[in-house]
Amino acid sequence: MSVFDTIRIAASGLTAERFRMDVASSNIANQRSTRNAAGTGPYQPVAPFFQALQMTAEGAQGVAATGLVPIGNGPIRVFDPTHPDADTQGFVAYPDVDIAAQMADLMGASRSYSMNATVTQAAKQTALDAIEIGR
Amino acid sequence: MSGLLRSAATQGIGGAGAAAPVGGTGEIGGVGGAGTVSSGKDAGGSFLDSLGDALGGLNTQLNTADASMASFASGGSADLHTVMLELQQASIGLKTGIAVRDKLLEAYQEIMRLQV
Repeated sequence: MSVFDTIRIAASGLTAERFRMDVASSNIANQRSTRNAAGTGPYQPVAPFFQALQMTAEGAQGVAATGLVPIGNGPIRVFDPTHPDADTQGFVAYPDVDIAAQMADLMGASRSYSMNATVTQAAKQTALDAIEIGR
Repeated sequence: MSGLLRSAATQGIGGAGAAAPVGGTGEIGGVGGAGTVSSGKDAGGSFLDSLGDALGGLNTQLNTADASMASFASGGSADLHTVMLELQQASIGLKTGIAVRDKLLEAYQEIMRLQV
């Protein structure tokens, strides 16, 4: 229903920002993970990327998370021969997580989430105003 | 004569839609549709049919909101904002339905108060 198009678009934005927070959270949580989920190497920091998505017949577009891209300059090698994940030369590979950038991204995602929530509030108020016309 | 007026009115609305910057789709097309329906019985379903459809849509909305609330409460994968927005949509739909009901009752009571 066209009344709810604004809300649907803002909802896609909310979902996208939630995903962005998930990814930042994952990068921050794994800043010292020397093994990824498959156990094949250190955790690879990632960044989400998004795509516009046509949502109304008029061409207004929502957003959808399309996937993740690896970020950073590759693992940081630290000499620590006692570490269980040390290689034969005694170096441990730590993920190259830029904590400052991740925190900034987290704040950005949180603020963008609020913005999308404000859009839904405005859309709701518009609909209620429209009902008031009939009163 | 009424048919002539009707087609003129419909064309007028259609023309305004075509001249609109957004390309006369969606909202403006909707206005054209409403005009056609209200201008005569022969133009399509009756008012009661449209009312029935609207109430059916409202029921669907309420059921969707109910289902996503239940899914969220039982630990489903639904996002909190999705649940809240669906509840909000159902609430707006319900308010619209109530506004229409009030209008109908008002019209009915006006007619019942007519002096004969």
